[in-house]
Amino acid sequence: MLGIEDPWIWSAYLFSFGLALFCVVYGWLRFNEEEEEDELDG
Amino acid sequence: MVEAGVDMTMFAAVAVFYLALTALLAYYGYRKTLANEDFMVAGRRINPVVLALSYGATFLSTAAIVGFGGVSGNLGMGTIWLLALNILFGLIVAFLVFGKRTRRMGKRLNALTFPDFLGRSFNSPFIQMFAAVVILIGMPLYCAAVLLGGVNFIVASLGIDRDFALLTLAIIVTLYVAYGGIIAVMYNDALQGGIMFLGMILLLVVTYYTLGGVVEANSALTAMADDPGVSAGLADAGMRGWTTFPEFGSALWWTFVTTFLLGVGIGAMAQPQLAVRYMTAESGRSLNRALMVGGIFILVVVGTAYTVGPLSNVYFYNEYGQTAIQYVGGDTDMIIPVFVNEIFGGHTLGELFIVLFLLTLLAAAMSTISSLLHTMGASAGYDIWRHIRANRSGMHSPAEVLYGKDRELVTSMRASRIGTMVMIVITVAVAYSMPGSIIARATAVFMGLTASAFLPAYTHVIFSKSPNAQGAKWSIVVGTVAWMLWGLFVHGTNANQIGLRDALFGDGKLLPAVTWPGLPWMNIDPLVIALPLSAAVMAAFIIRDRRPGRP
Repeated sequence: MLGIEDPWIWSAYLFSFGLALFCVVYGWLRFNEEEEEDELDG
Repeated sequence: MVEAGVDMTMFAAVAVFYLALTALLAYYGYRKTLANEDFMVAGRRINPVVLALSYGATFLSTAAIVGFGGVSGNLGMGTIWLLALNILFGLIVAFLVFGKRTRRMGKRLNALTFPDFLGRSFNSPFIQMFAAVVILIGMPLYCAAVLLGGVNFIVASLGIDRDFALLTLAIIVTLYVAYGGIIAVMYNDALQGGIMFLGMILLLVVTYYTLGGVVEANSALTAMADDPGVSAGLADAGMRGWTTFPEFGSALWWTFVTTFLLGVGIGAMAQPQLAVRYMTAESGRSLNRALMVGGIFILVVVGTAYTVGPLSNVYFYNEYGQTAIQYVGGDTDMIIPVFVNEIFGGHTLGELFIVLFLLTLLAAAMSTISSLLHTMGASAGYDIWRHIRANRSGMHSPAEVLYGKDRELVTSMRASRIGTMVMIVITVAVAYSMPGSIIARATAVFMGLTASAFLPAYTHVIFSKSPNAQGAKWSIVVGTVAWMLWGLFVHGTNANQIGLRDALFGDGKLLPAVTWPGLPWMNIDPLVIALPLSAAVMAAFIIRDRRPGRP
C-alpha cells in the first residue's frame, strides 16, 4: 500500500488514522456533554 | 557531515521575537500566580484547546521528534505502532479513563501533585514521599534526554558549541518555570504546540515533495532493503528493511516491542507530569474537547517524525550513497536535526523554515522540560520537604502534613521553586554525561520505571471505593525495586550504559547463558518483568482483604 509492502507497517498507519478519527468523532459528539458523575460528586 | 548553514542574524531576529512572546506569557502567568493552588494546577480552570495543545506539547517533545524520529531513521517504520499506542493509551485511555477520574478525585481531595494525589487517595504519607523519590530518581534522566534533543538541533543548525547550547537552554527554561508557575507553562505550551503542529506538517510535505511523491518515496525506501541493504549488525539482530517490522522473536523484535512499544506506549498512562494536567481541566467536558484536538495533534506530530526519519535514508542514499545512520556518524539523535538542515538549507526560505523548526523543537523541549522541572520541583519542595520540616520541628503528625495547612502550603511554594532550581542543576549534569543515541532509550527508561511503580496502584485507586493502602505501598515498592534490579543488572543496554553491574560483578553479564525458554532476557525491558510483579502484588492484597472475615 502506497509503496509499503509489509502489512504490519501499513496496518499500523491505518490503525493510527482510525484512532485519531475516533478522537475527533468522540470529542465532537460529546463536545457539550457534561459528566454525570460531576453532579454526583457535587 | 553537513555544515551548519543557518544565518545567525535571521535566527537572532526570529528568536528574539519568539522569546518576547514567551516572556509575555510568562509575565501573564506570574501575575495570575496568586496562591499555591494556582502555581500547581492553574486554579483548575483552563481552556480545552490550551489544555490539549499543552498536553500534546508536554507529551510529545524532542524525545518523540528527535529521539524516536532518529530511532525510526535507524530501525525503520515499525515505530508507527508506537504512534498507534501513543494515541490509544497516551490519549484515549489516558484522557477518558484516567483523566476524568483523576480530575474528579484530584478536585475532591484537593491534591496538588501526583504524589500528593496518591498520598491523599490512600491516606498514606509514605506513598506520597516514596512516589516523590521515584520521580526525583527517574525524571532527571528523561529531562536530560529532552534537553539533549533541543541541544542537538541547535548544534546541527547553528554550529555553536554543544556545552554552551546546553547551558543556555537550561537557563532559559529555569527562569520561566521558576517565575511563571504552571499557568505560564500551560499557555507557553499551547503556543509551542501550535508552532510544532504547523512545522511538522510542512516537514512532511517538503520531505515527500523532495523525494518525488508519497508512493515513489516509500517504494524507494522499501527497495533499500535490497540495495544497499541493512548493516550486517542490524540484519543479525533481526532488521529486514526500513518499511518492514523486525523479524518475530529476534533480539531487535524484543527490544522494539518491550522497550519502545510497551515501555513508552503503556508508560504514558502513569506519568506524573501528565496526571497533573488532568487535574487542571475545568470539567470532564473539557477533556472530551481536548481529545478532539489531541488526536489530530499526535497523529501529525508523531506520525511525521516516525515517517520522515526512515525516509531520510532515501535522501542520504540518493545524495551521498550512505544510510542516515552512516551519514550522521552513528548517533541516531542527530538524524532528524541533520536531515532537516540538509533538505531546507541553501536558500533563504528554507533557512527561515529551519529557524522556525528549530524554535519549534526548542519550544517542544522547553515545554516538556519546564513541565518536568515543575513536577520535580513540586516533588522535592511540596511532597518531601514539607514532611521533613514538620518532622524536624515536631509540630505536626504525618497525617496533618498530608492534608496540609495554608501556612505550610505557602512555605512549600518557595520550597518548590528552590527544588526546581536544584533539579535543573542535576538535570544539566546528567545531560553532560550522556552518550549519543540516548534520547529514545532514556525516555523508555523513565516511562518504564513510572509505569512499573505507579500504574497498578494508580489504576486501583481511581476505580476502587475502598483503596487498599497496604497493597498500594507494596505494589509501588515492588514495582520500583524490580525495575531497578532488572534494569541495573540484567537488561543489556541499560546495564551496560549505567555500569553498576560491571562495577560490582566484573565486565560481563549477570545472566549470560540464561535463554530459557528460548527468550533473550537481556533484550527484554525491565517493564515486562516489573509491571506484572507490581500488578500481582496489588491484586494479591486486594483479594486477601476481600476475603470474608477480613476487616
